[in-house]
Amino acid sequence: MTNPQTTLERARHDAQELHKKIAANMAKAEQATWADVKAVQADIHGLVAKIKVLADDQADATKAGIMAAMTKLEAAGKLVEDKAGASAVAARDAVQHAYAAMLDGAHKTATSLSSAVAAARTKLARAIEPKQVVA
Amino acid sequence: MNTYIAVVFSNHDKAHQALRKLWNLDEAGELTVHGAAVVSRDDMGHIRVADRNSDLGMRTAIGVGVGALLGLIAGPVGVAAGVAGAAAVSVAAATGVGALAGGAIGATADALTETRRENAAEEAFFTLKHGQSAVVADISEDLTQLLDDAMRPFGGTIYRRRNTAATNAAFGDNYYTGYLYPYYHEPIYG
Repeated sequence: MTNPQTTLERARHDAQELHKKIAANMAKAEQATWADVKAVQADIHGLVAKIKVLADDQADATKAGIMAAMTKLEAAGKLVEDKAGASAVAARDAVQHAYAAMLDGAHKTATSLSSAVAAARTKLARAIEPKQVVA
Repeated sequence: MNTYIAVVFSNHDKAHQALRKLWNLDEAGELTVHGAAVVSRDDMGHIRVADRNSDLGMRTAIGVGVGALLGLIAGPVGVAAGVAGAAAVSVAAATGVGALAGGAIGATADALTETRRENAAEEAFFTLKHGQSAVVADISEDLTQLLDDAMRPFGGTIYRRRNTAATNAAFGDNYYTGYLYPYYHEPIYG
């Protein structure tokens, strides 16, 4: 697991933790409920708000990647329970569908933030690398 | 530099240690790992992905994604040889049920003779022999020597392929879009 050091790395860490949480909930399969989904959705809303601010500081290509992932994650965070006559099996399938969408969004968010972290690290490495002395 | 890597080890334990080391390098800021997984080739010739997810759909997605990535790292010659004779890529989840996947890799591999597979293993492209395991990952690195030095104590052989639009396009429709864990996770075999 990444040890967060900068604001960007902390956001990436949060996205990784979100992914881990969703994957763990999915593994519960039979016991997964909409209450669990709603708890994860609350985490998504917090993360989306945080990352949107960060995205503004990124280069255009990186920003586009982050925003695309955000859109997907945000949409998954808005999936709502359909209570009208749903059987137990249908309800369980709906929960799994919601988790799959959220997991995909969390995965794309984590990797887009990884790209932003990589770009920042490269920029830093170039800034501190020894400069050649010209005689 | 954005790079797909496969680091091949003599056994699963070393691959697991290397996976941990890879994420440690990320934590230290020496490179950035976008995603990683451990794969191994079992006695049946299947390449298996160590993963804890028990959902069949997810296992299939992981198998297809990692299979495509292995094909990308192996290049056209490696794919023709089925990445050292992999008949299919499976995901070994906690349930122990593997989802057959791997797209083009599996389809081509079945058509090859054992002799050709053995020949393929001696060539310079990525191969995975029986009992071997590999860490496959999507990374960004500014100095390749950092990873080279880190993997040396584990005896790993590193294969790299640049992650560019041209590289992915050359691979065709099966280019890697699939699934690697975006953080360190304990590899689980069923």
